[in-house]
Amino acid sequence: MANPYVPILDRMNHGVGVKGSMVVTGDGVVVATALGHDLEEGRVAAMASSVIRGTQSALQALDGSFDRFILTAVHGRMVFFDVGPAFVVVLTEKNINLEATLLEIDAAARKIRALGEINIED
Amino acid sequence: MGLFDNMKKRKELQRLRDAADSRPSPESLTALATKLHESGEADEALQVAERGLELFPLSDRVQTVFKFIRRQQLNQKIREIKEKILSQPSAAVYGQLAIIYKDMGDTHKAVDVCKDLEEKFPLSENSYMIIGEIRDQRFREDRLAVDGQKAMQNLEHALEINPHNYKALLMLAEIYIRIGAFNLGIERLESILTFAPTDDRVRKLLDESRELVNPEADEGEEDLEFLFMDVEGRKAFLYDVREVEEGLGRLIEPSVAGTPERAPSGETLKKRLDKLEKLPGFMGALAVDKEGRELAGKVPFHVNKETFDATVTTILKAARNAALRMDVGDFLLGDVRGAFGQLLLQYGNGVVLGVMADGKTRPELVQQHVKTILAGVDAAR
Repeated sequence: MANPYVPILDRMNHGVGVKGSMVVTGDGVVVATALGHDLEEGRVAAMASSVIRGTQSALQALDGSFDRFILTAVHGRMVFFDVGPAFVVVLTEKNINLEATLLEIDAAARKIRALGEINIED
Repeated sequence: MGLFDNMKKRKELQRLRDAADSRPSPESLTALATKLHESGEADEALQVAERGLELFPLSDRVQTVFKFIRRQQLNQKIREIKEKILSQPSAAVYGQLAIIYKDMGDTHKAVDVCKDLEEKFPLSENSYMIIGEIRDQRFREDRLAVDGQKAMQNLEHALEINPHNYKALLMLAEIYIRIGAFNLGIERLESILTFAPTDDRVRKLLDESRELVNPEADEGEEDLEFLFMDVEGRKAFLYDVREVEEGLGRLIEPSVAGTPERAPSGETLKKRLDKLEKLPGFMGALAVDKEGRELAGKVPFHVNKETFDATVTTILKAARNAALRMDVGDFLLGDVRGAFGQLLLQYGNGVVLGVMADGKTRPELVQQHVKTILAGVDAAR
């Protein structure tokens, strides 16, 4: 059965400066992936899981959680967006139109949530 | 467009030109460049954007506008090259496309094209040269070991295909000199002189390298991994390689940037953080140095400082590791939002400042406070 999230990610990836995206749980389980061919799925999933888990557990100490994390580095950006039991992770160039990209990601996140409960298979 | 509209447009352009001349700033220069571009004055738009880059190289706004204008100009060229790739693919044409993307700052696309080039023309050194140059530039800017190592690997690969690649040999020699691997640098310089014996700059580099090499070190003993990591740790090269005209001064000088950055005074930072009490919804602030050591912190009375500090440092550590792991350079900024409120983490002048506020506080206000505090850090040294 075709992964219903991939077309949503593919469409979002058409945004200017988007290098790739995936839907991944805090445990690093990859639900869907649409990455450029210089991005390794395993590496991205491990990185994403590390950020999500680290941030969630740190914020639990303050009785909180996060639903959005935009990380900017010298040569790129990573955006983490909560979609329920998983996160949409988007990797972009650094100099993008952030507002436009966030709108695209928000739209993609809503479509993913609208598909119903995310099926996580180990 | 009528006469009146034309006059209005010219007047507006003149106003923007005057503003950019009398008070150059990222805002005034990008406004002028954008207006010029919209008016069809592409060459002048690019010149203004380039001036903006020279004056404000770290401005995101300037970089974005410059890239946009340049991209528009190059788009036509890109279209032509892409058509050529379809009709008459060659290593040279792929190389041209990759170089255009590289010059535009679209290194991701440049690398994509290089991967295609490598796949279709495995005997061409072009892809390794372009990626080598991208990595070398990043290494010189950010001093991260991975960039230096990948620059070296790609350039050495280019040399395997073409041992007389002058550019690869020279770039490699300079990388090796910068990190202090003089024996390897000397080897590359000597190779150049076998086919370009009259190259005076290379000869001068070679002479100076021979003076600096440790006579007791074996040629095979230069531990490159250690040397690259040392540069990353100190955030500085061992030596700088200068571009000077023949006969005027040395080409290789000990790097002046090698002096460790002096951490700002905790007291000064504390005074600045105290002002955050005025930020509505303020939940806490923590300033740490590059090693993650606390410089100053401030929390409202109802917040447990230890818990707050642990939260911020854990998130910062995760963010830093992610940036390095994904090979996108050093961490600069983290913007976290959720049920807890908002946390802004920003790096500037050797300090990472994390400020947390509740969800009702305007994020722009938090950003403003963080920027003001970090800008003051340098002035306070």
